[in-house]
Amino acid sequence: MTPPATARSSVKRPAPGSRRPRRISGPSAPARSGPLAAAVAIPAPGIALPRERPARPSSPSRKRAAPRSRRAPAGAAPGIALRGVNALEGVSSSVFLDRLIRGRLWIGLLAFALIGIVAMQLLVLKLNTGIGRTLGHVATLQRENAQLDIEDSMYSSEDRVAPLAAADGMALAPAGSVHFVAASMADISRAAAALSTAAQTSANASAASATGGESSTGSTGTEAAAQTSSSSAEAAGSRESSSSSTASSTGESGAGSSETQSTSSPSSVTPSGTSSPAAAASTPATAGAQAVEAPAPSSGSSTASAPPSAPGGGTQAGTRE
Amino acid sequence: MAVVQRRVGMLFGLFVALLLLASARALYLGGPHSGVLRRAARTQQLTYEVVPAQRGTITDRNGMALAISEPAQQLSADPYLIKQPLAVAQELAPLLGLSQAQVLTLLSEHTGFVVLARALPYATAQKALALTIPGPQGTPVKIPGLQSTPVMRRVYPRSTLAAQVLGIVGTEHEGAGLMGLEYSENRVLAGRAGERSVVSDAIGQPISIAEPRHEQAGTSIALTLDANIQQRAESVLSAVGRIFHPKDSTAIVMDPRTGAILAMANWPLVNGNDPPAKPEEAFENRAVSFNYEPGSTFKAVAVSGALQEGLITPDSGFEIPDQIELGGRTIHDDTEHETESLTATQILAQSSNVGAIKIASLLGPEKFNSWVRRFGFGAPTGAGIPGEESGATLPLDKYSGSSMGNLPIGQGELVTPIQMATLYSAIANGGILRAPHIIATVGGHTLAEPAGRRVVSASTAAEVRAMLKGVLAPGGTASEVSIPDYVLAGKTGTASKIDPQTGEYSQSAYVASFVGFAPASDPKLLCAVIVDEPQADSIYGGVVAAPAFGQIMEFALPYLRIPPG
Repeated sequence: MTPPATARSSVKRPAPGSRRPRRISGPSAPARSGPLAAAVAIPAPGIALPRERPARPSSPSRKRAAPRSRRAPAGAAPGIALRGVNALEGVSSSVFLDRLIRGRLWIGLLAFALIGIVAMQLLVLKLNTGIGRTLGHVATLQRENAQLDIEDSMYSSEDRVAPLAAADGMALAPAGSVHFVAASMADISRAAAALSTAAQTSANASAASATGGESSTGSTGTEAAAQTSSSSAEAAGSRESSSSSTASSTGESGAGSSETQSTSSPSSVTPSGTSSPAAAASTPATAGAQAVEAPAPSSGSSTASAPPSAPGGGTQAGTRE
Repeated sequence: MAVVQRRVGMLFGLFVALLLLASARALYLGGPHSGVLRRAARTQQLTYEVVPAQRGTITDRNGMALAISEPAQQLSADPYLIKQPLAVAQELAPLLGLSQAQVLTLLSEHTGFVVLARALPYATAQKALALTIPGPQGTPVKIPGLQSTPVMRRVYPRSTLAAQVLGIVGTEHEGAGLMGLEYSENRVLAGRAGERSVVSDAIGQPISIAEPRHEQAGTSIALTLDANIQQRAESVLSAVGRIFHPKDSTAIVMDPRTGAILAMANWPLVNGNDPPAKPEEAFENRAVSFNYEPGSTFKAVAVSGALQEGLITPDSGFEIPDQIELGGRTIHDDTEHETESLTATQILAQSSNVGAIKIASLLGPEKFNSWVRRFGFGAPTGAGIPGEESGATLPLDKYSGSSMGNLPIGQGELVTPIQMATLYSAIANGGILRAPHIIATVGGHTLAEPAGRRVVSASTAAEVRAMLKGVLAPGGTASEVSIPDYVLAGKTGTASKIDPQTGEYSQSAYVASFVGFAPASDPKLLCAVIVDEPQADSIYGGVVAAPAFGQIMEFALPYLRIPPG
């Protein structure tokens, strides 16, 4: 709503630089103090302003109490609120808004906003439908997960595994048939030697592959990395071979050759009667440097160094009779 | 121009009239009629759901699930809407696992809501909801008035495994724990149910979902139990049950170095998935709640105390008559024999009552009493297992003239199996009395191992260990038990029970027990077996309980990769 021309004509428009915010519509606001007081203190025609009362002298006998702290508990909250109100007032009386409403652009803007609202509502509906479906999916997955956990636990029961293993010809290793040997410093040296041999093999293999890669692709980054790794592995291997093995060199070469152990290490298959040095170095159950399982002398199996695991697993391949 | 203005005016008037009409209608719908509409919307579009929280999983030390919650459905019905209760009962009964009569009784109640099944597996509930009965025109129609509510169902995948330790949860009160660890750890395991309001469209598609309160899943707990050792212990106890027909039996397997409980088995077995099948007492965890007179296994207290006080050495010799009189009471050895000379080691190996009394008499009542308390008897071990009893020990001021005749041989005081296991753990680990524990991690965070306190010196503990080897050596009371390559140590116990009718020691009811560890020189595993009232020819700990100990250890030692020694 635009104010009537008479109302506007009674107020002189200030210069553009010092223009004050102007009321657009609505009932006359009550008198306010502050920065907008001047804008609303214009008296309507025919209404007399109340006369100012003379200030009452304060009684000397009545001392004013200490000013009560009116600070809000939230600290700067009133300031922010006031600034917010001021900003809103600024927006409501801004020239831009005024021009926008007076022009035709607002029709398009309104249409756009309405269509946007409807579209947004549709999107929200779709989103909620999607959430509903996702919640259902979550519940299904949760159910399936629990079911799989239950099955996992049931299937690994000794009652189930032991007969199946027995049907495959496996038997639980009697306590006396599993032997342990004490690991000595010599075993550590042998383990270190085996690891360094494995590291050297790995280094050679990677060097060979790097050379091949160089000739075929000529890729620089991969090649450099391969060369670096091979040279370091070679260095570890040469250290090991040149000097007698020590615990520290074992660690280094072991770290360097972990990949090879799993594939081509000679320690992965242990001949009967000898324990794997690599296994000796990594057997978790042996406190300190002591024991590692060895095959039962009577079995003659070449894979008896596999430790027993679960009771079903107690029927391990290493104890096949 | 005037016509145009008049038409515009009429159009304006029409719009104003329509606006007023719409406003009046809106006022009517929003005012007097709002209650009806709100109720209709609530029933047709808006549904409030309780989102049950998944209870934390209980696993063993290897992550094997021992107790797990799975989403399930509570199936309920409105009997007023079911016009053919007989037909519905016939269809529903097989799925609910109830008889037709039971379902019919439920459907015939004069109420608008009956619960048919509290926690039905989801798939079964869906089958039940999809059931049809013949309609009025003979066409199949879905059963009216059936509805399901999401709940959680507690499943124990291994059924009987550690059932008394794990306990059970109730179906009421959001499945709160009622017994065992489910009860004691309920605050950790139980999550917080959430709330969800769903507004659905005409075809039931959710168009608005709000969750005023999110559900919070419970925290999982990993126990120190090893499911495989636990299963072996239960199998062995079942075999003992078949052979000796005891009232009940219990076995504890512990790592004496840490106090971690690897198995805590109870017999008879109970199925956690079917609690009503057994009486409530069957769910009692007797490993911590069974108060019994320990008999000869208690002799280790007097011997350890006397060694620590420097009153005896393992080779100290004693003249042992067949019987001894103390405070007007005559105590016999188990078998008649001439007066013989036995060392302290032989006294323990042969479990001489007279010898143990003589050793205890060197200590005197005050010191003996202080050693009993120092080893933790008369108070719970602090294992944190629900239902733990503290046993009962005689206060020093209540000692009579004959007290030092029966207390050192394990009569006149009550202990629990876990207390005895803790005592022998202290001997096994070099003299540190450490509270056993069964919870390893909570929510993935490893709990600190309980700090122990030294009760005897390492050398005294080593001496007692060496003496206890004699029990399983030739001439010992459990000499028939052996495990190839492993040196075992332990103590047998055979205690008469008090006959409640006469108040005297019974001549037919005994408690046979054995507590031992291996390898004797550096123990890494301890096992206690207590058999209550064996009913076969032999009732001795060396015959009933010690072989069970041997069978459990024979499996557990190589399984845990403990080298012989």
